[in-house]
Amino acid sequence: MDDKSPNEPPSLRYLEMVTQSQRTLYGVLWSLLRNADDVDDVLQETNAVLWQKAAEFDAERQFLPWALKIAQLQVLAFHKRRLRDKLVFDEGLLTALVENSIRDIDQVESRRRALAGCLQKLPGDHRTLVLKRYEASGSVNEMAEETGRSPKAVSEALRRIRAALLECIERTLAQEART
Amino acid sequence: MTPGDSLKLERLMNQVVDGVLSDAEELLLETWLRDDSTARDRYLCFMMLHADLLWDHGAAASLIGRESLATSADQPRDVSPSLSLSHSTRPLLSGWLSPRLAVAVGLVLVGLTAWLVPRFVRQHGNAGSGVRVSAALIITLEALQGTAEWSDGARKWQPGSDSEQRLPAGTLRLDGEGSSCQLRFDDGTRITVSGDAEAEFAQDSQKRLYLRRGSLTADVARQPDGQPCVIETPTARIEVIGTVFTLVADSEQTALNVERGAVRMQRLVDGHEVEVLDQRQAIASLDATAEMQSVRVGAPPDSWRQTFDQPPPAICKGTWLAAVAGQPNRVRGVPCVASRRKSGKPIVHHGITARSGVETRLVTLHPTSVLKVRYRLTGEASLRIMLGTNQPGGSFGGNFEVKRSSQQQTLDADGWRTLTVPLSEFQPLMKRFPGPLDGSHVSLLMINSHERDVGLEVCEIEIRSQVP
Repeated sequence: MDDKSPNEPPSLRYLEMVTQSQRTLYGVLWSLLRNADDVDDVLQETNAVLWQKAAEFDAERQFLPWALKIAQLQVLAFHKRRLRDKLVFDEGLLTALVENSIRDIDQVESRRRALAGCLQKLPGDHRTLVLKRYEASGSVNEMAEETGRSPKAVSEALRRIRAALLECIERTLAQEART
Repeated sequence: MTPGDSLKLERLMNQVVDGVLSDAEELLLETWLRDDSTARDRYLCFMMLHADLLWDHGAAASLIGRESLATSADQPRDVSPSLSLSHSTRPLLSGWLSPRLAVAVGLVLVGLTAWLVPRFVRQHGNAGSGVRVSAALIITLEALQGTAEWSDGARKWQPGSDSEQRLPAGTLRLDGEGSSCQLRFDDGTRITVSGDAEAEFAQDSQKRLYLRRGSLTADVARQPDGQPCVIETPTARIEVIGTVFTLVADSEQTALNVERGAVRMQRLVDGHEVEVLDQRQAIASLDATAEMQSVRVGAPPDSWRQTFDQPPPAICKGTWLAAVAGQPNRVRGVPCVASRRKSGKPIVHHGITARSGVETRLVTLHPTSVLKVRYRLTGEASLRIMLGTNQPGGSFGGNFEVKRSSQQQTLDADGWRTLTVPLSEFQPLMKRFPGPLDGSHVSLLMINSHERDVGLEVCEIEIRSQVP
């Protein structure tokens, strides 16, 4: 554990780790909450706890698993505060998902790098579809209205693209492993 | 997992992110994930892909305005190279710093600010003007009931009600007549805003507030010489050195009730001024011909009864129905915004609201006071009755509530029920205003059936102090 008092500001290294973990925390929180507003809220609360607990972090350990455990507790706290809302997943499944995430945490960066390459390989119209869906406030319904297609057709097109991206990522990772 | 299973799982996950998953499919997915570790791995890969795409192009506007996005995006690169994220979080789809990344950097900076400020203040007392980061947070939200939105000009957010929060200069918006928010400046000056209200807070060399609408009670600590606390409304301006008072404002008039001390109020339309002393009241309106004078505030009566013989004034809510076919005069419940969800979607309650005008309160409460309501519904429901109170001097006294099931009252021959609730059964809604209610003045009474419209009609409301 860092030899520092709780009143000392976090180190620059800690600052970097918190900052660099944002994207992964966001992704895992998405898996657990599946609602943009909730994810934003819990990510913010997780960050606040990460700041408060800076002095408790053991620099010998990996940061992301520790941060993910904190995020998991924040998801549970979030739902306790909002008793009326249904938990997306119960506590057992939530824990299992976080454990799977921690187990595969080393792959997160390589998957992201692979995604960047795979996006470049998409045909132009598919790339446009992805950009439209994931731009600010893009939704399947709006895209359907714009293109004159049914929401189901748009959703199906997106499904195929996502499947293609996931397959391409797996292929890229397998290739990297071979070389 | 068979290829067929894979496709089925993939379709379910797509339906999740496209928002078209049915309850039955949700249950199927949940069971699958619980039982199958491979399915969990695929689910996580899929959701991480979705989140990665969102991260680059997601609706960052829900967290932070475009203006501040630009600022957040620029700051780390220009100001603090140590925060550069170019290696691990390089945007995938565009050459720009992604909105989500900008938000993350903003969050980290906010976190750093939140971490540093309390420590700086603890070590150095009130932050000096040379410390920009601490000067930005000027006020602490101490208590909140209902939904509040805070805007600092660049972004909007909903402060939580769980713990104290430091806030920058900005605008507070409260939704719902039963909403209240208490804030504290660093010198101990407390401001309570209540009702459907909007108020702006700023502080440079002096405190500056603007109450656009709603009610505001201020307990102002002694201010430095020459730097009074200034509060403006659409129709009035007051300067305060140190006192306790309540302002109720809308676009046409401002009522000032002074509980302790003295307050000078200026009518904006003609600059006419009046000094209002302890236990007195004055009103500034847009009508420059109206006499503007300070008058003594009398205590409201010990009992109050409303039988809706005439349509209630506009400040009350409910549809008035004249007596017909043996039915009495009455008021029917109407929908009203009680608060808002985080998404901004309003939570609508159905009920009636009786409230006092700015000059007086409805009734003075005593330990033996009893509320009686004669009402009817088209079905059974739980009723929520809320009392908004003020201290005898005029300052905010808190909101109190009681809930009763309609099944607890028997129907009379005409289909009406009578609910009787002793004052002692009302519970405080805000920890900081626990009561007691004895001696308080009721300024607001709400009766509603929550989010269900069950055709609530009320023909009589009475609050009476019973002889022991």
